[in-house]
Amino acid sequence: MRAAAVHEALVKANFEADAAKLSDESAARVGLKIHARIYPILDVTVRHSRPLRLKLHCDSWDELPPSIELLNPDGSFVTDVPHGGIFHPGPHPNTGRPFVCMRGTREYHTHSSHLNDHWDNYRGQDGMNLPGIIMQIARVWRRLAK
Amino acid sequence: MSHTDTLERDRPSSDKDKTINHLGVAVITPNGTYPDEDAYKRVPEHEKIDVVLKHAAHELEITNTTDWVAKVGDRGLDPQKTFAEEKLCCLVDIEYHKHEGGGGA
Repeated sequence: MRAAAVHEALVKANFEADAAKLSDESAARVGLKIHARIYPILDVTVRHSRPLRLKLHCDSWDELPPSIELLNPDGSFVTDVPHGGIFHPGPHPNTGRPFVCMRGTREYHTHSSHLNDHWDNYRGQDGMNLPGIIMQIARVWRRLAK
Repeated sequence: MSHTDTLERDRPSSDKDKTINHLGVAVITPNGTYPDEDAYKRVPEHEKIDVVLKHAAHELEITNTTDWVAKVGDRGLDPQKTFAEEKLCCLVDIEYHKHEGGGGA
């Protein structure tokens, strides 16, 4: 029981340290709007003519990569994603929805096509923290979304 | 003359300064922002972008940037070019992070 509490505290500390690296001010400078960074949720909108809201579920960070919901600005689920790139129309076997098919997302590493590409191959790499994963997704969304 | 002075710092300008155009550069990375949240580095326009990116990586303790990309707005940058060659001026926010990977599920 105590071990579980220590583990939870460590995960929360990892999350808070990562989330703090992308301040509201810096996020705004690269077209991101942070709505919440309260463990275990990091909630961010990618500013664009078609905005994308990313809700990262970061329980067990960084033992597990974040599970990412693709949302419209009003919080409803995105049902159609741009063709190609890292966006997959789904349905993902675990969520039943479109998903981000990119290393660093739980949906990628739990998809049957990528079970051999383990998160541990990327965990702790420069640029693979929570802000880095968001910046990568944002870049592709802006390039593909109409 | 150091090209890494922040714009916020007061410092006397030399005659040489007056003949060189400068811009203010900030680099936003997953590890934080260089030089910091509310400042820009004063950089001569003929400086290679890569020099500033390397300096930012060092200051932010990023050791491996081999597959990283730099962009301003929606435009990708060639780090081997100078700021002038990329037609950048005034105040510039460079987004610098790892290239995405995956797909094909």
